[in-house]
This record gives sequence, structure tokens and C-alpha cells, in this order.
Amino acid sequence: MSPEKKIKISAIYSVSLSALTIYFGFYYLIGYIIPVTPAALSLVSLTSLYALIALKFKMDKFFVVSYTVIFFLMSLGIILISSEFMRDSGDFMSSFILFLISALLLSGFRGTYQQLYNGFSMYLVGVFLLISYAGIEIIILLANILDYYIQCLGEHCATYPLAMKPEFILFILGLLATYPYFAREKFRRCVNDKKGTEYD
Amino acid sequence: MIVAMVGNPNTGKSTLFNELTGAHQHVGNWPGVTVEKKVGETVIEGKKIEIVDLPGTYSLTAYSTEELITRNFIIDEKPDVIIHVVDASNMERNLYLLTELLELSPKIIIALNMFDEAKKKYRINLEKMRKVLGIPVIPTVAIKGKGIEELKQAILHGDFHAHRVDYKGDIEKRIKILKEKMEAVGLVPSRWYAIKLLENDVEVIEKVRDAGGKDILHTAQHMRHEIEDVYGDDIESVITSVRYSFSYGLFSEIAEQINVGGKTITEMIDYVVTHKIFGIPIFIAVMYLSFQFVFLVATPFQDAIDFIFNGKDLATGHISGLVDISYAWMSSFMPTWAASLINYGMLRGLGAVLTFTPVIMLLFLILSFLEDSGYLARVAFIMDNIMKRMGLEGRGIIPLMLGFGCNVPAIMATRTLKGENERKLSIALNPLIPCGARIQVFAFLSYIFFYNNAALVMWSLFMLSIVVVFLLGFVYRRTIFKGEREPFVLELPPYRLPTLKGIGIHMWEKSEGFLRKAGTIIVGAAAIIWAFAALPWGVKYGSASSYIGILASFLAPVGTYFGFTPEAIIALFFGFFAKEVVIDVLYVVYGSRTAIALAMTPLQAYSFMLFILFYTPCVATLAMIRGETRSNKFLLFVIAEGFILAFLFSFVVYNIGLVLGVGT
Repeated sequence: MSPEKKIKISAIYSVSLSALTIYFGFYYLIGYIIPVTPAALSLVSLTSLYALIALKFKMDKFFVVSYTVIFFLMSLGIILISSEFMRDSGDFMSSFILFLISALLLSGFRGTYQQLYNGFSMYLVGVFLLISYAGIEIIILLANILDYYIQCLGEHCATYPLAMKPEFILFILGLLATYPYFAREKFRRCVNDKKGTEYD
Repeated sequence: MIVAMVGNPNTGKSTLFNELTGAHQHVGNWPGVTVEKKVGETVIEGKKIEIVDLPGTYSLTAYSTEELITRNFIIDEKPDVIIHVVDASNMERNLYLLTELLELSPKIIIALNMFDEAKKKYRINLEKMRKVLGIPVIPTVAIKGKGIEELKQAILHGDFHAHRVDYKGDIEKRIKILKEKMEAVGLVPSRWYAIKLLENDVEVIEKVRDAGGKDILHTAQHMRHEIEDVYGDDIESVITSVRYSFSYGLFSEIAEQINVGGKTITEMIDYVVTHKIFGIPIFIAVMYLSFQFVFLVATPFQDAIDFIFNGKDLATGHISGLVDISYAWMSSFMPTWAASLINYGMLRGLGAVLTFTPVIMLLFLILSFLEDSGYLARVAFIMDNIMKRMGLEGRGIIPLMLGFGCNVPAIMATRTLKGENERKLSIALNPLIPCGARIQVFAFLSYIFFYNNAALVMWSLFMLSIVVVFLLGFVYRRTIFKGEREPFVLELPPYRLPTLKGIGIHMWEKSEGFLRKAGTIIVGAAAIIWAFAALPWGVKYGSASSYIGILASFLAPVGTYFGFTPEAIIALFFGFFAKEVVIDVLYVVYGSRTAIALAMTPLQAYSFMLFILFYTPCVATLAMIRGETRSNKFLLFVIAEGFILAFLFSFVVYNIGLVLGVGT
């Protein structure tokens, strides 16, 4: 497969990834007040995003096929793992960061698909922020485990109750989105940024 | 032998200086790190060399402090060799300074620093550059220690045949006449004085007048008018334009750009992080993630240190910590009051402060990472845009950002601001920025009272501080410190992946000061506070009959409006000397974190933190403000400003919280 096609697949993948970050954003926000059914919310966010993008973007066969495959794989994955999440982790700032990442990925989607620098810049910062956020959360989890055992000094404690966290998934999925960074020489400048029609 | 290092801000002079001298001077991916000259020594082939790191400057006019420090050093101290540190990846702009340096000394070495980054942008013909300029040109990568040996060799054995800028026939002719006159009155380097006199340099005019050259001033004025008539522009612009032409021409001769159509990673990231919509949310997210990382990763290390010092209460008994063990041991050969003073006063106080060492180290680690990577400069850029809208001086953002480390050097850094009002405005706002010491206190209290939401609480205090600084700046600029905003170009250095060594040095530099303070002032303060709590003899430690208890009951009525406990008021009183002492007081008086947590509600704790955020800066900062402004009136103004804001915010937040029933 050519690098151009791989970049296009990465761009489409970033839409699903942004849907997932929106979902987890809501998970942290609404989970704070009432528990929600993760799978249902993910499907709603994914489909609404799909419709949103479809309205703005002229699709070809390649786009439709790639999007459908990624959409089903992602939804299936969420349904399978959704029951594993803990429901009591309300965190307003985490949801803010996840919404921000999602906004960056969506803003960069079109430009990345068309291999333009401006869109790619958004995509790049979005993916970098996602990996950093998830990476930091994983380091924090490791620190929590260490703290648990330090608190247990002199006592007999059970094994740390490790639970599935959204950040594990986001970290792995974020790493999968880094392909365009390694193929960045394939991108072009957009001469007329406002209209987005004339390219080098 | 004296070697002076000069260059534009943020070209890596301080890193190169550290490599040459083995010093650990503060460096940063940030313009304006060096405000004063720094001196170090090295030995090359058995010869002792004194190396002077001068402040970063773009030119040698007489407009700012750093320009004056640099040029006066070169003229007065006459260094044997000048190393001009050039950011090779921004060579075109950096070479302007060279045109001025060439007038001052022929013995110049160019250190083309960050050469590895430059190679990604240009193909540089070094041999041609050496030939065109007639001076040694050494490519260096200071951060990796590359090119240092070559630089040392050039200092001793460099081949210097410098070629100066030629200012065209009619200007050169006049420079020659003035040069002879300068030599006659003993002003050297005469050519430099001649050019500066033509440029209408205020300081040079003064020097010529002092040297008895009044007629020279008349001649120079006449010549100036002649040149301005010929070129139809003011003299400064004419001469500057010749210099720019030289640097541009030189650059075109020796460098060939590669990847013209592409965008660098720096350009791409900048497009987003300085974006008008995404810029500020990204900044907020980065700050929050930083705090979350700091607090939650530090927790196990804090608990471990606490365990070492204070032990642990178990259902089945107590595990003794260092304080108990040491007390038991010392009581066996010294009076119990002395053992109590050493262990329950000083050692426990030290332990309390050391418990927060992980937080401080991680905080400085992350701040060093953000600074070295280049992101903090973008934060300054985003803030500068806001400042611009408020009519504030853009340069003022640098001292404000430095204030997050310590207010003392930050106030010193206001010397780079040109106008008196700009300086005073920056000094007045600086104490409102939470310094490292205050951050420690916030870290301590947030951890105790808001455990899971500590990062959010810290973040809210930072944001409040930034908002208050901007709003107050806006008001001051239109009332007390009126003035026009000066145009200012804020440099955006390229993003760099910081090295572990660089971050390590930064983190240590900042934490070292904290640890030294912990070992001296803070332990001393702990002993004094212990004495207040233990005296007069025979009373129960920290009880209402002790001196601290008496003082507390006297101050208690003041705190009721703000939710402060009497002990908290005492902590604020001692915090005037050094903010970290607040932690000491609370720990020594209450004895444990659990006891502190039980003494106040989260609302009271937040109100207390708000007060600490704004109330009077520490003694060292006040001394610096007095020293820099030489005005008692201004000093009182700063103290009053802090107290008014502190009382206002604590009162409002505490009482609204009470009404709403939040955090009670």
C-alpha cells in the first residue's frame, strides 16, 4: 500500500479515535453525576460523528470502505471491553483534555486526509497530546500501585486491585495513529489557507 | 587572558560557557536567561583563561541594560578574544551583531552553535565563511559538548584577519574623518566611536563631550545631516540597513537553504500551540497534566519519607520513625527538653519539609522539561498576545515567567525593561506570581486537604494568579503606571528534545536551593517555633498556656472573617521570613498531617492558600524590590497591594463558600 493511502487510513482512523476520546470525555464528565452505558454512548458518538463528517466531506469508495471497517472494529472493541471499566472516576479536567484532543483530531482530519500541513499540524499535536495524557495517567497508576504497597508496610495487604482504565486503550490507539509523522515529507503547503483550494 | 562570550539571546551561550568552564550556570531554551555577566575560568594548554558570559543582545546600541553591559565590557575590559555565539539555525538574523562586533575588535571567533539543527535547514560552507570574514569559525553543539576542543584551540591559536563592514564611499569618508578626531581625544576603538557618534548614540555623545570634543560633536551633527539628506532617511536607518545588507549578503554567500517547500516540526507545532482558539486550552491542559503528574507521582515517595521520619500507627501498635528512635536515644544522655527540641522541633520540622522534596523535584523536572523543550517560550508568546491587548509591555512577560521560580531573580530581570513605568509595573505584579516557596506550601496543603483533587486546586490557584496579574496590569497601565507599549519581538526558539543531563542540572539547581534552605533557615525556624510552643517551662506543648497558644488566642478574632485558625495566623506571620516556614509552623504546632487535616475544613484551607498566594512577599523579595526601586513608598505600595488582594479573595471565597455550604 502506498504511503499516501496509509496517511488517508490514518486520517479516517483519527475520526474514530476522536469519537472514542469524546466518549471517554463523557465517561469522565457524566460518570461524575450518573453512570452511563459505555457501549451505547460510544455508538451514538461514533455515528453522529460519521454523519457530521459525511456532510462536510466528499467521500470516495476508498473512504467509505476504510471508514466502515475501522468503525466496526472500534465499536466491537468498545462493546467487548466496556464492562471492564470502573464507573466511579469522575474527573472534570480529564474530560476537558479529552474533548480538546478530540477537537484537535477532528480539526486536523480533513487536512491530513488531503495531506496538507495545516491539518496535519492539528493532527500531530492532537495525537501527541493524547499519547502524553495517556502516558502520564499510566505513570500515575504505577505510582498509585507503589504507594499502595508503601502504605501497607508493616501490615498484611491484599494485591492491588488493578482495574481497566480508558487511558490504557487510548495510549495504544494513540501510538497506532503516529504513522503520518513518519511520512511527513508527503505533506504539502496550502497556499490559500482560507479557501483551502490552491495547493503547491 | 580574558575571553568574552557574546551573542543573541537563546543561542546557547550559557551552555557553551558551562562546557568551557565546567560551571553549572542556569541555561534555558528561553531568551534572556543571562541578565548580568558571569565569570568562569578554564585552563588551556596550561594557560589560565578567564571566560566572561555576557547577557544576550541583538545589537550594541545604548537602548537597554544588556546592550550597555556587553559593549561597555568590551570597550573597558578589552578582552583578548571575543567568542560570538551564533545560533546556526537562525544565522541570518544572528549575523547582524557580528557587524557591530567587528568594529570593536578584530579578534573574534564565531561559534556556530546548534550546528546539528542548522544542517537540517542549510548547507553551510564553513571554509568560505572563514575566508570571507577572516576569522575562525567553529561549528559547535554545546548541549552535546561538540566543538569545544576546537574552540579552545582557536582561542589560543586562532588566525585573525577580520574584514569589517564597508559603509559605502560617502559614509566611510566621514567615518574616517571622525575616527582621526576620536584618536586625537583618546577614545578607542576609534572607528567604533566614530560610527556610534554618527549614529547619534547618547552614551558616546556624552563620552566625547567629557573628553573635551565639543567641536567633534558639531562636526558629527553636520555630517549626520549631510548623510540624511543624501539617503533621504534618518542616520540610524541608513547605517542599520548597510549592516543588514552585509549580514544578508554574507548569509547568502555561505548558506544554501534545503527543504524550502516543507514545514519543520517546530512550525507545525507552533501553528497549533499559538493558535487563537487552541492555544490557551492547550496551555491549560498542559499545566493541569503537569500538576497531576507532579502530585500523584510524588505521593509514594512522600509517604516513604514520612514513614522514615514519623513511623506509622497500626491497629496493633506503633512502628517508630527516625524522630522517635532518635529521641529515645538522645534522652539517654541529654536532658529531655534538649532531646525534644532537637527531635520534635528540628528533626520533625526537617522531615516535614523533606516530605515535600519529591513534589518540588518533580515540579522543577517538569518545568525544566517545558522550558528546555521550548514550550514555555510559546506560553510567553500566548501571554504576550493577551498583554498586547491590555496595552502591557511584551518584554514584561519574561520576568513574570521567571517569577514562578523565585521572585528575587525575576525582579532583577526587570532591568531589561526600558521605561521606568514598565519596570515598576512589572515589579508591582511580580510578587503576585506564586514562587517556588509558595508552590511548596500549596503542594503541602492541597495534598492534605484535597488529596485526589490536589492538582485541580493547584491549577486553580495558578490560573487565578495569572488572571489577577493581567487584570491588575490592565488597571495599573491606565492609572498609576501610564505609558506607551514598546514594540517587542519575542523569540520562539525551535523545539528541542531536552537532554536528561540538561533537565537534571536544572532540576538540581532549583531543588538544591530548597534543600539548603530546609537544612538551615527552616530547621532554625522550626527550633524557634518549638520554643514558642514549649515555653514557658512546665506547660503542655502547644497548649493554650504556651507562648504560641497565647499569641494564637490574641490573634483568633482576626481569623474568624477568613476562616483562619489561630495557628494558621501564626504560620502566616512566620511565613513573612520565608514562605516554606508556613509548613514548618503547622507541622510543629499540630504534630502530624492527620492533625492538620482535622484542624481546618477544605474551605478554610483554600481560603488560607488564597491568602498565601497574594499576601506580602518574603523578606528577600522585599529587599530586592527596595534595592531595585530605591523607594520606600513603592515598597509599601507592593506590601499594601498584596495584603488588600489577600484579604479580599480570602474573605469573598470563604464567605461565599459558607453560604453555599461548599467544603465545610
